[in-house]
Amino acid sequence: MGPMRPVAVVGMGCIASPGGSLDECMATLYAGERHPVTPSRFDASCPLDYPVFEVADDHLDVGADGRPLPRTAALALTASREAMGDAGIPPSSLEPARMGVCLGTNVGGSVGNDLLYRGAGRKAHPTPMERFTASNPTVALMDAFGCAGPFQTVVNACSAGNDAIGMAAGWIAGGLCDLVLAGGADELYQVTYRGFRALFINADAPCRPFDQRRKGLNLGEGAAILVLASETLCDNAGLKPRGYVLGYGTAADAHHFTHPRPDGLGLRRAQGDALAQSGLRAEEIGFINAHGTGTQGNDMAESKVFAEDFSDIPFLSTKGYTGHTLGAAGPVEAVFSLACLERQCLPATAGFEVPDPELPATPTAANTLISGDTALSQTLAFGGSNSVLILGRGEGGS
Amino acid sequence: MKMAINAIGAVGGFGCGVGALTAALEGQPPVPVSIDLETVHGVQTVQGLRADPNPLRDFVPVRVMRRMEHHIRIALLAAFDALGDADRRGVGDRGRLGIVMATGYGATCNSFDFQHLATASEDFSGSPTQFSNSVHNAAAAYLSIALSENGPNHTVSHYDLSVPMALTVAAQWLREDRVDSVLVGAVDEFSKAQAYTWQQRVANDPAAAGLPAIGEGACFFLLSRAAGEDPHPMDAYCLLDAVGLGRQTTPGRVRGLPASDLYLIGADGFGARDRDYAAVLPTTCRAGAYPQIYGVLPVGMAFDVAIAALGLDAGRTFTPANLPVPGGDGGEWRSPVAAPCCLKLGARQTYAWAALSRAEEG
Repeated sequence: MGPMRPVAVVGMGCIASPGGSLDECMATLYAGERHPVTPSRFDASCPLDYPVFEVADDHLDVGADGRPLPRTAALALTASREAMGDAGIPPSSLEPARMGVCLGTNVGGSVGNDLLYRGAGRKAHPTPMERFTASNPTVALMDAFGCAGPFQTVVNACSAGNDAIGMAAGWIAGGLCDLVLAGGADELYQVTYRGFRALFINADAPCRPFDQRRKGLNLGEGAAILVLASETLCDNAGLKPRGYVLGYGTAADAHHFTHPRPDGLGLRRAQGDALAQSGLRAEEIGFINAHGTGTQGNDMAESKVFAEDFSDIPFLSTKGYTGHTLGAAGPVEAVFSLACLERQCLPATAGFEVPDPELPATPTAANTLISGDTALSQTLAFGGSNSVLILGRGEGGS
Repeated sequence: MKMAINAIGAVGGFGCGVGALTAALEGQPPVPVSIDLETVHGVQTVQGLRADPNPLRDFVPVRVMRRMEHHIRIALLAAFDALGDADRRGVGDRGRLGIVMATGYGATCNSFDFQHLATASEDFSGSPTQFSNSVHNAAAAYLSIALSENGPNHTVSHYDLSVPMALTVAAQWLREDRVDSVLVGAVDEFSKAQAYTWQQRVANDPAAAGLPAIGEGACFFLLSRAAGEDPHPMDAYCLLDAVGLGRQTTPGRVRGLPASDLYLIGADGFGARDRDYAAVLPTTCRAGAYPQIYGVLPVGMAFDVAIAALGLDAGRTFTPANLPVPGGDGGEWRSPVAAPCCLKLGARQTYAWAALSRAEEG
């Protein structure tokens, strides 16, 4: 793979358990606060309490017509409005046919079937297509911002959001469009909650990424959107990038459906491709935002790769603050990473207190100052997909 | 990025393989079967085109197949069919391979049977295997494991525009030199919800009973860079010149729609946008739809691409369905085409097209 010209990130938005905006989220992270709760919107029906990370309802935007949207679409729209506001692009600079949307999601587009199958009568859309378009977050953003360019809904499980950002960066670099709303969104959904429980992946306490006492992950919900822009648009509109997408890599473990490959083969290939596209070497990375779910297998696989290939590079997991937001995880962690580069400080890894002697590398245990201009942010997915972004510090922003 | 279609695999109500697909196109279309649906309103009978995944036993151990849901089996069978087609056609070293999957319904199409969700307290996700298989990228993941393929693995789901999305991913990977070839596939299983809707429509309008049945199936392509751009050229059915995807900003106009001597349109007599094709097509053009071959399903465009490719390779065209759409008079067409274009109009004024042409002489 050859190098890619850096793709500008001119706006960012984020909504997750820590807050209704990126600044609110970062303040919560640096304060070391986290708010796991018992699921409030569906019947968990279980003797044990598997905590989740919910988004407060009053943080959610409504659709352009003033009516509430299905939750995943609402999360995406809320984050998008913040991101576009952050970008501050003059409307006269935007050409609809050159505006794209690329989102990752797990449940967006699927939950609409639930209503039909429950025979909810008037609440159910009459056809599968109408239900899909009503709940799909990509469609919601195309409607809200009048995007008429390329669009895509990525459903690569936990790596969907990172893959969406990577694909979108390729659109900009390839000249397909001048602006892309790229990111991911997923709501807490009882099917997912019960499914993870059936797989014994959920922890019955707030998660502890890379901690010796870790027992699994907590689910979360949220959305994050990055506004990617071409050099032409940046020049014409006088935009100051808050960051850059420097590289993207994706590869499969081809090993097991729910367990990562212990030798990290797929992860290393994805990291290698991302670094090759960025033109950087591993030792030039300022820090790593790990997938860091708090499961035995994931944290072991990542720790091994970090120790062997990125020794002395600080890393953290932010899932102790947000839970695992599935399709939103990659974008949420990407905007967190860019915000950390701006602030030159990493938050502590929430939930990590006791190092695991089995893990050869340990994450940040306290807020940590950094001096680098680049970050690597990675996600490992059900099905064995590994998706890696290389991000760079920009000139604009807080 | 211009791509070559080097191999095709297809599974549906017509059977398995390009031979079965061609036979269906040459006058032996599949006959829908009656399927009983258990609904909250009792048992209702619908017509459908079902695919048989049992030949997958030749490629995957039965003990592994047992863990796979129906849509995964269909997808894997079509993928292995494509790889077999590649071997038969003498396609050589594929180099670095990527996998892209398109699915309109996703993997949760029939995870929730009508009766199971009748009560809110039913724990319908009690099976960890069922939940794992309900993740939308399950089929692509199983395929990577079956092939021991560590390359990029990507799944898209955007209802009836999932197929062109998958094709654009393949083109992007080839352009970025992430891979040397891409196994691009599409799969949708028989949708009980869609069939229920179809049944309601037929019940209210007896004339609708002649419309194509709800279908299921999978179609895979092995794609590579077109000869001339690739240092390892492989034999090709045809070329995939370009794929367009976007949203109409002017009524009746699809940006970049290429001139073509045959438009394969995604009309099925069922879709809300069937009547819009006449407005976007050139006033004098040949157009046809083929849902009688593969049924009504979101990833139907994959079969249209396969049909166009088979026609280019054989130097002929196939008789389209008799539908109330442009070119849908079911007349026999005998003259070959040189540049077919598959066109799909999606919800919210979205569109996608895929332009094909003859492969260069070797």
